[in-house]
Amino acid sequence: MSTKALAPDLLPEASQAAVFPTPFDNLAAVIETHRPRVFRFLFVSLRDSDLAETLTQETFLRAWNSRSSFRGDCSIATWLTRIALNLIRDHTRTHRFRFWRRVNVQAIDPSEIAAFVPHPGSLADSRLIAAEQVTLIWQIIATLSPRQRTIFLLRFVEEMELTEIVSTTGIPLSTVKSHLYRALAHIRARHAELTRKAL
Amino acid sequence: MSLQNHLTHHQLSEVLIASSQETSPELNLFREHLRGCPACADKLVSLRTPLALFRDTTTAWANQISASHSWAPMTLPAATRPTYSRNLAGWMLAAALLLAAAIPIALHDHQSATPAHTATAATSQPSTLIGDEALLEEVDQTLSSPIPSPMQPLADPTAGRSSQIDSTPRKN
Repeated sequence: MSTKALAPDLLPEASQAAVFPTPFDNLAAVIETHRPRVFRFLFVSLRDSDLAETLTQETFLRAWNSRSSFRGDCSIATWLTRIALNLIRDHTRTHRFRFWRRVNVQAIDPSEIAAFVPHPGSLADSRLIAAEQVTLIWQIIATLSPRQRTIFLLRFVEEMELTEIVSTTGIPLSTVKSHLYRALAHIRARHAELTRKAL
Repeated sequence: MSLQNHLTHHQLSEVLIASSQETSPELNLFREHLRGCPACADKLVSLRTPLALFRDTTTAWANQISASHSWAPMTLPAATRPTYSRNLAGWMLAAALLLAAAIPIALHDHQSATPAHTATAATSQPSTLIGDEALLEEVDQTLSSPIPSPMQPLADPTAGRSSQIDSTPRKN
């Protein structure tokens, strides 16, 4: 992202609003560091790159506007994810029907995924299996409840610690764990099914 | 935990969910079992591998999309949006204040203007009445006269000429 585009527009406000120094005073650096992760989380959650991009910008804008409330109780990443999560909630709440219709229609094309599957070996078969596995997880994620999906993505894509997930979502640890167990059980069952079919 | 008792799905999930740095007596026991039990280790790998693939793939995909998008032109409108809405809100507030100030003034003006208007109407009324009366009187006079004033010159076409005619000697 061109941070220069965002920062100069906002920086004049900094002198007025920021009484206490916050990490967001150096907004360009914050954007540079956290934008890829915020975008990825939004993209995987929404499966819409344009929307993910818009909401990524909105995340940083909201972070900037409410930077005075950042007390450093959690990491910047957690704080930004919390904002992004609220934006997803707002969006899916207001566009629920359209959102789910689009998600159902948007079938993930394995060939599209295959292009991004890491391939340490050059065997075409192993690449295909890997692409199928990733596609399967995409499909499973689509069937999870919004809360389960969020927790799953935070743990297994964002690699957040359980305590961070609790802090981000405000969901108790026991509930976070049970959502993850259920999501993993779902993946395991479908994965076993796929392996049987392949054999 | 003995090697005969394989880990349950819940226990395997416990290992997967926990971070590598996290430790607890229970987790340590599971990890120890996994080191000595290839069957359970395979199960764990079969779960862990697709998850790792999914993470790596989505990361690569998101990075590629992110890199292909031009962020600069899209950033500015989003950044200026709150300023715009703040300006709009400011203008609306100013308009509301103006209205709030203008309405009592207008009402006051209207109230003070009404008696003046009434007075003007009252003062202009007699002159109108006088005008009307004069007009009616004129109409009356015109109607009551035997010959309308526009036809007055035709009433006696010979008037003023008869003496002249009579005094003129006839030659034939």
